[in-house]
Amino acid sequence: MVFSFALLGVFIAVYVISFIILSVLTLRFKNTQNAISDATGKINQLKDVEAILLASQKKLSAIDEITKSEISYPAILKELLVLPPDGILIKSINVDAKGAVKLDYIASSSASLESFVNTLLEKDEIENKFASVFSNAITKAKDGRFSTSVTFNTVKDKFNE
Amino acid sequence: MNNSSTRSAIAILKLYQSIILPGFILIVVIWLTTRYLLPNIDKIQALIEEQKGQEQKLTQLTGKLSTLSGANKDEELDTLKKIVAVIPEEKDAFSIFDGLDTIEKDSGVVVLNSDFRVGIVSTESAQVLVRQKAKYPSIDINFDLIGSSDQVISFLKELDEFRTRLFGTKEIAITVNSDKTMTGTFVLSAYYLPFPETLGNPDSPLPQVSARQQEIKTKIAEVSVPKGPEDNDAIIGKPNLFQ
Repeated sequence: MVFSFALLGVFIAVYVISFIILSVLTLRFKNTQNAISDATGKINQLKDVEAILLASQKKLSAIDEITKSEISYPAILKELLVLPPDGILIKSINVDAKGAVKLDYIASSSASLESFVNTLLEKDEIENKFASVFSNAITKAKDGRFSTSVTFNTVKDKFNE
Repeated sequence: MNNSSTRSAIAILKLYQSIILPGFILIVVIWLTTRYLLPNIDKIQALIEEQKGQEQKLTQLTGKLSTLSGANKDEELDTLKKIVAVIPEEKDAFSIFDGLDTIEKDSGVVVLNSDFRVGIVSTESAQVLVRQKAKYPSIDINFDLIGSSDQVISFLKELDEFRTRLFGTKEIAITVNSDKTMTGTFVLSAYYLPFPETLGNPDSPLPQVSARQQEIKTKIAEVSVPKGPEDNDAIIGKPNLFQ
């Protein structure tokens, strides 16, 4: 008998507590909703600022991606111009969008030719700035000079540092 | 007869009251629990979940509001104008000429000739084409120039220094002349990007500006020259023609 009344008492207590919690939560929910609509209203008033920031960010993101994807032509050109040892005369330089280089040059002697090829190999094997260095046919002129061309790929990361 | 049966019923109730009453109370409590208490608990759980979502939304909105209120509108607008000078919203052939002229003067090279095809300039169909074709549309420009090696390198450096419109280099072919000057044929890309068409909902977060983008923004703010209104100092005549 006592147990059943105690059970009834517990029910009433739990129900009252649940009711209080529900009321508090409902009140908190309404307050949060009010705060949300307040903030939304204020954000709507600042739509012009948002438009400016959004447009800036979109363009900055594009500039970032474009410049990141670009090959550093000035750095490659600088490197190529200081590359030849004495006796090597660069005639033309071609660099494509992927960083593939073709150099046409004249060597005054076989020694300078060898020296230049060694320099290129060093850039490939030691400094890892170039890759797939390929020397094309060498033509020896009457004056003893050698004219030839070399192709290689530049390692983008090494020039964009 | 009735009295005796009532008495016997009461006697039975008295005899079993210790079982009947608790049983009745138990049934009532179970009924009340399922009818009122459990729905209340369900409501509490649902409200707690919903409250979490609302609080997240509020945090997001508050953050966005704080960023928007903290931004200096005039300064941001000024920077946007400079960013637009770097990457305009349309092809804008004139800024290509202007940019190349500036870089040519600054680097000291001489542009021998240049050509590019602008194509569709500013029609509805051009906008559709932009969306469908490439992420960052551009116009390719071919041109020849002459200069010393330092001048050519300086020219190439200036192309993405943000002082003028952003140019990407696609291809270079240089001939070294006997007098050590260089004659080069270049293919450049002049990029452009239309403004976003919509802003999104108030609770959509503002896109984050990365450290690199911030660096670019600062640099552009420092060096870029926006396409401004006409020179206010220019002499435009008498304000009052009758004086």
